[in-house]
Amino acid sequence: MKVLARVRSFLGSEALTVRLAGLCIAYYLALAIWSKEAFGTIVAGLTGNILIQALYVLFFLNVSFRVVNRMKTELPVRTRFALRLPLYGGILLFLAMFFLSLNVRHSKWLLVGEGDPVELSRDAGEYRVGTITSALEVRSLRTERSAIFDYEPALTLLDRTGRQHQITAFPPVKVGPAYLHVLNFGIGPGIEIKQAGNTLSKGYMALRLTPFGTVDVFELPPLPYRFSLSILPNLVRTTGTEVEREYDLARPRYRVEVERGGKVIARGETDSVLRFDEGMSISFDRPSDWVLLEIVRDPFYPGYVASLVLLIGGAFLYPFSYLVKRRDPA
Amino acid sequence: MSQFAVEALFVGCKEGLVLALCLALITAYLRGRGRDPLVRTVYAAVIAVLLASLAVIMVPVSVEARAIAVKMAGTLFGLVYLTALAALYHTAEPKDSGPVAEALHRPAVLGPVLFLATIAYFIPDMAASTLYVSDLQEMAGGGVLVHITAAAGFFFALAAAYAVARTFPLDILRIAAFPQLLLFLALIKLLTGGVRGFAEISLIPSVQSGLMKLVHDAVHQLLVMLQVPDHPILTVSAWNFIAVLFGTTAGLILSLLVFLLPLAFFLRKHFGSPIAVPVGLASGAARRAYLRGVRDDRMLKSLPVILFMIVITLTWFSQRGEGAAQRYAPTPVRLVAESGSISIPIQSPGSSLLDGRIHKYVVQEKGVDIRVLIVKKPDGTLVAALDACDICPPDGYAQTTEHVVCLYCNTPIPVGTVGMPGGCNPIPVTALISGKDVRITMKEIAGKWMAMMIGEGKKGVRR
Repeated sequence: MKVLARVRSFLGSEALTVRLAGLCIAYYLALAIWSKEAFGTIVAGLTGNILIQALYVLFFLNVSFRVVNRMKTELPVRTRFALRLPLYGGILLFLAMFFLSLNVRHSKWLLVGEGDPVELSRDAGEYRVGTITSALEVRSLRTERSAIFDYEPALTLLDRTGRQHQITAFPPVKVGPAYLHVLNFGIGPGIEIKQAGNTLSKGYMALRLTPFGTVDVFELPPLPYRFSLSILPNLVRTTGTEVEREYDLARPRYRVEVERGGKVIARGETDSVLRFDEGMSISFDRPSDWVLLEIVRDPFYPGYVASLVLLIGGAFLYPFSYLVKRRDPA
Repeated sequence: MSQFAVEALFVGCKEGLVLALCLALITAYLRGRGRDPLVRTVYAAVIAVLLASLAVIMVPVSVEARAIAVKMAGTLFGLVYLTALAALYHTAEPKDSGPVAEALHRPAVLGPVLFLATIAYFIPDMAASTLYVSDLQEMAGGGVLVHITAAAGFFFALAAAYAVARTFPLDILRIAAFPQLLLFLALIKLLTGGVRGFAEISLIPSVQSGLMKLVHDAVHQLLVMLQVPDHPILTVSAWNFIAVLFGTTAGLILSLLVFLLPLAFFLRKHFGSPIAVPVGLASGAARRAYLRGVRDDRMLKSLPVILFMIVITLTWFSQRGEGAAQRYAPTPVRLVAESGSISIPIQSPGSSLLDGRIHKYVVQEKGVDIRVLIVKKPDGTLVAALDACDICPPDGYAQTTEHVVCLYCNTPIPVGTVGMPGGCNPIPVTALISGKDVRITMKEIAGKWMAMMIGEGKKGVRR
């Protein structure tokens, strides 16, 4: 029993907190000055370095014992206790959830368009993208000060029963075993490559063309061409010193460049078709939208979010606890 | 007197004053503690430091060794500050001394430890400043004037400070025990630890940018785990306010909190801990006098800590080492490719790639402007990269004291890591660096620029 009491006293001691914190600061300082990527190294260590993991667990136990001891002493003055509990609880929950989440999280990114299948996990059944809510207006107006997108993009995900799940950029939505949210958005022009009237390739090409003017390139093996594409304004208006550019995304104008063997063989601006290389053509149809979906499987995600809520709420409430008079021990 | 000699005079005066001030504090403390013999140990260490600093003028010093000296200055400040915090904590809650503290009380151990600690405290700044003066002399076109000016400034400041110390002897023990002494030494190192003449007097910008990077990285990690979307989506969502956390003001405030929080904890503990009145003090008056004495002593001993906090808070916001106002973002120089490559001379009239600043260039390829940056890393090597990263829109980078900063997301990138791929680092490009110029093929930069534009978007046609 004596040994247990000593272990408990050691784990609950302020000296241990100070020493572990000092060790962490010294390690961080050494990494920051001599190897530079200090924070990333420590976070990577929390998932793959047994020594750093062991020290973190020791720190967690130490903080837990100290918080529990502190809460015991606060308990007699109930109001004070209630005002401090969220912060104490938040600290413990955060330390635990951060570590667990970091170690068990599986995440993947998936580029999807309307109708694409989405695999959340092997046994989670079939899901399919329904509609995508565009982040851009069909007639987009841009000035120097404009944001890249007009709206927050979203999509609907349909399960086998036809049930719809609305996925937005934030917060993530739980579908089956995973949390999903939109990480990025882009435009996929409808493209058809023809040779002497015969279609060689047809479909939507997910390109990064925003902010407008950004040049993206693609190839369509086995065709020996490399295409560079950017979106041009359909209309440019100048008011004083301000230049307004209007983009019609139902029928965008593209600047196209075609290369073969490193040489530019065709260049042009079009909203319909560009001919190149004697008999070849590239034509454009109304673009489709694509979305970069982040799919995360992490059973501790709700705990992680709850810990942040508790921490922020607790930090707000804690100062009010000083207004409650401490009960005289006598 | 040339501008180089003026700067050398300043460097000499600064180092002389720092040495005099530190010696005055250390010797006053040792004498006050009745450890007079150890004063000679300190003087011996200082002479060793001066000799070593002189030696770096005589022998060639590699760029790597210079970088190490500069890093050592920062490391030493960190160590002195941490030791001061540990000692403050120990005095706030006295416990039995550990085996290390016991050993340190033995003169056979204390003497050598003090000797080495004194050398370690002074040598990085002294040696790096001496090297800087040598650089100034080289820029002045040789001769010995610059060295002589620096030495004159050094000894003048030392003599003046000695005279002041003789006239107004310090009773340091009234306000400083060992932890407070360490805190004073940490403060001096922080305020005067810069080793690049007028351009870098104190270590505050470096410490500030390091702490701001910590804050930035921590916030970024929290948001990634919270599954917050990419920057472009953030700018239109309700989560726009998150950008505030990445801003300079929030970074400055949070980094200051990180820096000063341990001292605030100490003050709370220092004033909050109960006073144990000795059992022998029976009468009320004696008891009150005792309590008052302890409280006065606590107040005096907390003064250095409060002074430290005030000085840091004032200088923190006045220096703003990594503030937007002090960002260096040169206009890219337009180049024309010849024979499939661009060539940038290392030295040209009014410009040198070796000046430590970022140099930007723009070249057109198939109607697209491609920007490249070149910078000298702290190890002295030149590195070339695109003025864009894999994550953000290609707004490019600006330069602060020790970082290049992404103009889109404000991520600070240590200059030493430019040339390494990944994250918000500038995308590295392969360059042929000769003694005369930096040569990069258009295939290399155009290929990487186009690939950067593609990002995650390239998944092929869905048929």
